[in-house]
Amino acid sequence: MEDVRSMEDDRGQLMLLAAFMIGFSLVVVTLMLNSILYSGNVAFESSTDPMRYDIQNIRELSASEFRYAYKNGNMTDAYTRNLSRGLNTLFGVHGVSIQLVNGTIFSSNLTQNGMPGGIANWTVVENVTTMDNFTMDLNFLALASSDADAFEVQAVNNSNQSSIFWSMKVYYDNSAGKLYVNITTQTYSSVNNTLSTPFFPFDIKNYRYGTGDYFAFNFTNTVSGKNYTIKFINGNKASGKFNLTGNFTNNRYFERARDTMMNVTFDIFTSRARINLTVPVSLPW
Amino acid sequence: MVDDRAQMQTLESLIASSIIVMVMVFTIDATTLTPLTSSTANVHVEAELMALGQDTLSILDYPAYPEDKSPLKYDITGWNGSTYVWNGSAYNVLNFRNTNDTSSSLNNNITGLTSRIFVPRGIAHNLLVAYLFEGGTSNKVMIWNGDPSNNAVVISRKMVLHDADVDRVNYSAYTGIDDIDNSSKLYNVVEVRLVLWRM
Repeated sequence: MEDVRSMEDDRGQLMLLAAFMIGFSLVVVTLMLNSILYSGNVAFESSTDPMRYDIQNIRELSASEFRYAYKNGNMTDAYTRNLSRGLNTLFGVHGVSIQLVNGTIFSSNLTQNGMPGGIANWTVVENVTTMDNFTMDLNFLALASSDADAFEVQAVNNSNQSSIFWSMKVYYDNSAGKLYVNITTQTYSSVNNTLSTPFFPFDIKNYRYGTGDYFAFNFTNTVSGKNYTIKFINGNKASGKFNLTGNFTNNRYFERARDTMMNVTFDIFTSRARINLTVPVSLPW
Repeated sequence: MVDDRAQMQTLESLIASSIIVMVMVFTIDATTLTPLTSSTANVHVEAELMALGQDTLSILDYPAYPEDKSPLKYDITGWNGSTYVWNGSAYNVLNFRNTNDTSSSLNNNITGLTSRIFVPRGIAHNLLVAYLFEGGTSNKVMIWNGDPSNNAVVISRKMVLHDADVDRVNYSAYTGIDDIDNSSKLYNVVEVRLVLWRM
């Protein structure tokens, strides 16, 4: 009798132990799942870094301000200092300190971003109906030496990009000391034209170059009454300045100009990082 | 057999005490399992609001033409200094004496986006303009929809105002934003702060 009772007690205790083990394992599994979920969410939070928006804001704002200051003859140390102080005061509330420096000025290429490695074939301005000013002042020593890869300006039909109203190629033969200009329209072609020094600036709209000599650019009469897009081809084969002003097809005024490039340096300090960034800015556009 | 029983009972008590301890640890560590607690679930909501707000301000601060002001700058420089409240159909001027005053409403690029993006989604929003003055910084409210909750996010965008951008006669009187540099064309540097939270 006593043996039966002890056997039943043992079975009861084993069942109780088994229930305890099941309960124990459920709690452990739940705790592990809890930790996994928490770790995953903490990792997600760390990937959303708002600092990159501040950097983008500073970069766009500074480039815009230096262009404005250059255009308005306001590029002074006092202006940069006041701007830097103002930005520092506002960013300081968020624990960010900024130092802004307008650095070295250097000659620009005719690529999209003004740098030698920038996009060489690009659209300067679209939907043009009238051109008030079209001037270029290039460094002839930086031009290509043959027609094959020469810098080219094109006026392209807005509604048909493969239809070129007017194009101009410019290259310099260093051995002969001659600058060549090739003009091509849909009805006319004039190649291997040589110019006398000084070669630049080109006033393409008014058929002038250098100190006022005449050259048949044939731009104005070719594009008159048409809607077109201006493109630069092989912009990495040219260095210097350009200036285009006029009106869009909706009669809005436009200006696309580049005189020079400037390196703008930002020093951004936070409690977690220090970022030193130098960005080339095209001036004035 | 008595020893076996004693060992079984000891084992029982050890496991029972372990379970009690584990339950206490579980209770203390539970953080992620209910969306109503202040937990990591809210981090997702905050991150979404942050992205939405940043995109909105980035779009507003992009000019259609390089020669133009951005829509955001256009609204800030053309602001009359009043505070506006969303009343369900429009942004009306905040009039403490007559809360039903609909004589003046705000219709600009900012409200055009906020009424289409935030209002249908039930996202409450305030818009403040912080600016510099001799003593430091101050701010003024353009759009006010109440005190933000604990999980509100703040998105900011800085911009520079020039002398030619503002009405030099009235802008300072309306908004309190003064010219901080009379020796140059720099007028002021302002910070547009957008506060978003879920209602």
